[in-house]
Amino acid sequence: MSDVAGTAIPTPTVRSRNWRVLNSPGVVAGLAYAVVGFLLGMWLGRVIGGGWPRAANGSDENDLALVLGYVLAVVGWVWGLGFVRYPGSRLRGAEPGAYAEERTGEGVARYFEVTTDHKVVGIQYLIVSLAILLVAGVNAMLIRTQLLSADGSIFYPNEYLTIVGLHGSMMIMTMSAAAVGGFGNYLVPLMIGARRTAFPRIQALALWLLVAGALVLLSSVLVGGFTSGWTGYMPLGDQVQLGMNSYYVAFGLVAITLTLVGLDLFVTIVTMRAPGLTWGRLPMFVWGVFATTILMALAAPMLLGATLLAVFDRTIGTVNFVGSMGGSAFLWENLFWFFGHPEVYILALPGFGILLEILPVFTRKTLWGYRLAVVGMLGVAFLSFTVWQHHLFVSGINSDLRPGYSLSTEMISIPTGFIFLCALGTLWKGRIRLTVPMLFCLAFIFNFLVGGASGMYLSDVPSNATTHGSYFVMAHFHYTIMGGLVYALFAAIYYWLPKMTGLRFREGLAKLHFWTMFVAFNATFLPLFLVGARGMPRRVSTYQPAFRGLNVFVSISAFVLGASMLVFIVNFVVSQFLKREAAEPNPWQSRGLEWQLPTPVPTHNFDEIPQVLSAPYEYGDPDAPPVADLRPSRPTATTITGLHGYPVDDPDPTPSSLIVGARVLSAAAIVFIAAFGFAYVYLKAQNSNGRWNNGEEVSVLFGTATLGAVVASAAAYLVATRRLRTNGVAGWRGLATVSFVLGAAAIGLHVWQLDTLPFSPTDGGYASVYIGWTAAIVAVELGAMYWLLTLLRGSLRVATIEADLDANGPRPVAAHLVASAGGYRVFWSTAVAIEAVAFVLLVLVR
Amino acid sequence: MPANPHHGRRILAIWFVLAAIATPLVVLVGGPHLPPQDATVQAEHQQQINTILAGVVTPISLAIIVYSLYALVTWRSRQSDAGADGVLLRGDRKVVTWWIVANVIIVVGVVAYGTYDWIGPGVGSGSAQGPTPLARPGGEKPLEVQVIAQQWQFTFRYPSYGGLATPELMIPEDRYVEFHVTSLDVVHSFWAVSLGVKADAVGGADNVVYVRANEPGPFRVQCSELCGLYHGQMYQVTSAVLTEADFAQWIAKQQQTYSDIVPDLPPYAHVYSPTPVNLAG
Repeated sequence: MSDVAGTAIPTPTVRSRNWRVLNSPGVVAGLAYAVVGFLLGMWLGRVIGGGWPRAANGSDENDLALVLGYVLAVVGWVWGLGFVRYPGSRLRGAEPGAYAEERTGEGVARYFEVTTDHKVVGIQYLIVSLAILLVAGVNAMLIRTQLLSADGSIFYPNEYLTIVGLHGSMMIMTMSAAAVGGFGNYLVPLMIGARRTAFPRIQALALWLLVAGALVLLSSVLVGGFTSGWTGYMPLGDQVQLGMNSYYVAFGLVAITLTLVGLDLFVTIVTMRAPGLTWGRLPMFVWGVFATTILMALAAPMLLGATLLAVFDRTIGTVNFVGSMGGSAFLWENLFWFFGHPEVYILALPGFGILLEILPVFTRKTLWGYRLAVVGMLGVAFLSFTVWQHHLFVSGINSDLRPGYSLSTEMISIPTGFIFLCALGTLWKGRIRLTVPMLFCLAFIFNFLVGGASGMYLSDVPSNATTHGSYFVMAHFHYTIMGGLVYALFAAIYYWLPKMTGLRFREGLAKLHFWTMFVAFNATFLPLFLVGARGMPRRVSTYQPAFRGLNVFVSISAFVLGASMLVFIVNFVVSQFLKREAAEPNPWQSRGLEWQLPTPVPTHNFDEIPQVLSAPYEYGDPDAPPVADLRPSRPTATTITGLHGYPVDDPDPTPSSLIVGARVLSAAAIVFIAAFGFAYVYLKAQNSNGRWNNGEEVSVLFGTATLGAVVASAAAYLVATRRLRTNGVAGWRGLATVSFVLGAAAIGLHVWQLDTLPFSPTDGGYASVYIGWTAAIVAVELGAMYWLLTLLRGSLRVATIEADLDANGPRPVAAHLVASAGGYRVFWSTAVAIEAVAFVLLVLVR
Repeated sequence: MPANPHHGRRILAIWFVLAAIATPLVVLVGGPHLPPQDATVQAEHQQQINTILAGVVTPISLAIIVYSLYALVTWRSRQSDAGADGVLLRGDRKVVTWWIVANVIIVVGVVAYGTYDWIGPGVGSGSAQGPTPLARPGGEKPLEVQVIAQQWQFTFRYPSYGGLATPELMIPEDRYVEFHVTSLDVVHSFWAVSLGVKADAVGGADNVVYVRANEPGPFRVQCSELCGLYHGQMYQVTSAVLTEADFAQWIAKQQQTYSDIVPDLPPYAHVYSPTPVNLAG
């Protein structure tokens, strides 16, 4: 390369690059397209909107314009970044494969571009997370400044509550993205001996959607802010001015991000582990990420459904959450916390993983109770779906189920206890090295202990009556989330950054950071338990003068806590930019596979896919083999193409990834639609004396025709895939085309029906849910039809499967097609099942 | 230090001494000071449970802290053994079994007692029970008081006194009060701190919570669910527990004061459906 790019022509190259920057995919083009999209959406909203005031309070602000502006801005952003190119090319029947601009570049610039290199994406997540963390942290300082005085003399209530809402929303966003998005993306492939994740383009898309979400959320301050806190409770969320739209759109984007991250990393861990890496040898961090991805893929789609229901309330006049008009405020509380509680463990589980990953290294011991820890993580993940109504103990919903939720909540202490036991057991007779990452891990144990102990009070119904909604619960979740995950995050930063950047931190500054943070953190949040239990509610901009003394103490501690972050920033800037000192390749003498690689890690991680020989924690076992053989002898073809038969730089999913991915996607689609199903069932059950519909019914004939088209489409497709094996691609293509036409017809029927409905959205719960549910189904079916179209176009390239498999060597186009066609079968069958359930409830039962 | 000390026994001994000192201190000395004190039967029950939980949490936390500190002091890597590894120990079935047994006993015990308390003698223990309460007081018919929350104030109605509506909340001592909490707009939460009572106020929904006050005296009422701009100011309510005689006197005075407006009020109901109004969030 250096031979060609001599010294003669650099200037023209640079200039032409600048000229073309708007036309070539990148951040600049993304921003430009986003602005165009925003203006277009605002214009569209003004043309078609305005006639739909919010049912909740009759406000005639044009929410539709702002929401469409946001949506088209995000489309423009994604378009400008270059994400449309690949799906577009698949639609034109292009062969799967990498594009030049998707390959990974060199130098600093690549961190500001779209890339399919999981290591660069991981670092991008960390940069984004730390930036959001900083902004949200400044918000926390502003909150504590306001609370220095009891009478709220610094900010107006609207400003204050917007700061509170931004702090909570951004922290939740950052924290759910930082550990799994940052360290998960960076480390999982290295730890499992893979060269990339399963879906590198989806992995990149998730990151850039998160950036869009953060920007949309921040933009709320330009349109009035939002006063609902991070929970966005209805009907307050129906009532607040335009800025509330930013919250719902941003959380919708976060939901998509979480689902995509979950999909990508789940499939990666299932399908791309190196030979010899059995489930019993999987590193604990990977287990933590694995448990988290299950929650991400199966809880976040519920949030997407909920935010859509909310956006419909604000834009097209539905009444999903308006109690007096046939909706219910409890509906939002249930939908939100069904996501919201697993979200708590989306935050905690990667922290557990980091804790158990790091402890053995610094106790020089094998992990105590490996299986117990795995059961603990999966148990926490499973139980977290069963506890959400403990957020609703005093809400006024029927109290019959309360003992069950109290029990399930307390039961989480059992798998969490496993993780504690494994951590403590690992300390037993170790050779404990008190390094900075180890200090953060030990503090994690202490903080989480306080968080868990306070959780016992909250899960107890009598005690909850006082602690709920007070500063007690606020202190509790800061102990678990900040005391847990943020500490784990810093442990991870100090532990793995030497591998990521090849540079070492200043040890003295790092220890100063730890001790100031640990002392100030406890000084900040311990007194808040008392403040809350004595009667100070959360999210108040003014409070009773009796609480002033403790609040001033807490504020001063919080400022010290903020200052401890400055110590970290100084350390970060000094050690990573100003006075760089190279780190050793394996400064901690870790057995982890990621530490066996050179620093910096090569673009493709492993020259050859390693052969894993033993678990990563065999410290103290003289007979243990090394963790992996990095140069196993394998046939030459494998070294060129990788184990999965694909070229090493190819970002396309492998056949097995496609199949597993389709299943995860189908499960996510079910959860997404379940939000609407739950809304239907809940509102119907609540609706003994409220408004349900206006007496006009949708046509059964119409509904039957739609369902018939979808079922026939699925039947045609099932027969088609059977013929793929026997009759080859030509036999498949005919019936698949029939399936496509029938599916498209069903979408057409849905749209036609939405256009000719005999009721309007304000007519009641049924009318509102009908519209939302049908729109959601149309969205799922549009996605399915796109998928089928790419298959049909792709099939034109393949004469016969056998010939293609032989002819194309390292890039088996037909194998890709067969796998994708099989995955699509799962997805489309799921969509048909969804359609059938909707038909029964919306058309037959009503 | 002996060559091969029995670490388990040492940790156990240290923990036992500390726990034996700390737990009674926390329970007997700290317990009576725990919120929400003893102004009502429900507050007493909460305080009792808070004390029990403190008694459970203290020895558990001490065990983990004592063990961790002991480990850090005893097994900290020294310069002399740099590079050495810890003992090879992959787990211990017996420890795991005992840990799980202890954990399950604590979980079942805490949940069973908490549930027994609020469904049984605590009569809800101050926690809201929704429209159809599981726990109801026996004996004398409770005094029904409705709490109507709206942005950003509380109104209280006394259906047994002609649907009287007043911004003050007075309740009699030694008699069960049946609060019916509802909202005219967004979600609020009715928190009478020293009564140990909390119930969300939701538009179109009725939320019942019981309380029985032990003695006369003032208490604080405030909103504890974010309800928009002036959420933080929703605490300026004149509220107290009165003796039977004072309560009768207060009712009479209120009826006199508000006699003009009662006919204009909507008839007493457990939920109201006002026309949505355009208020700033």
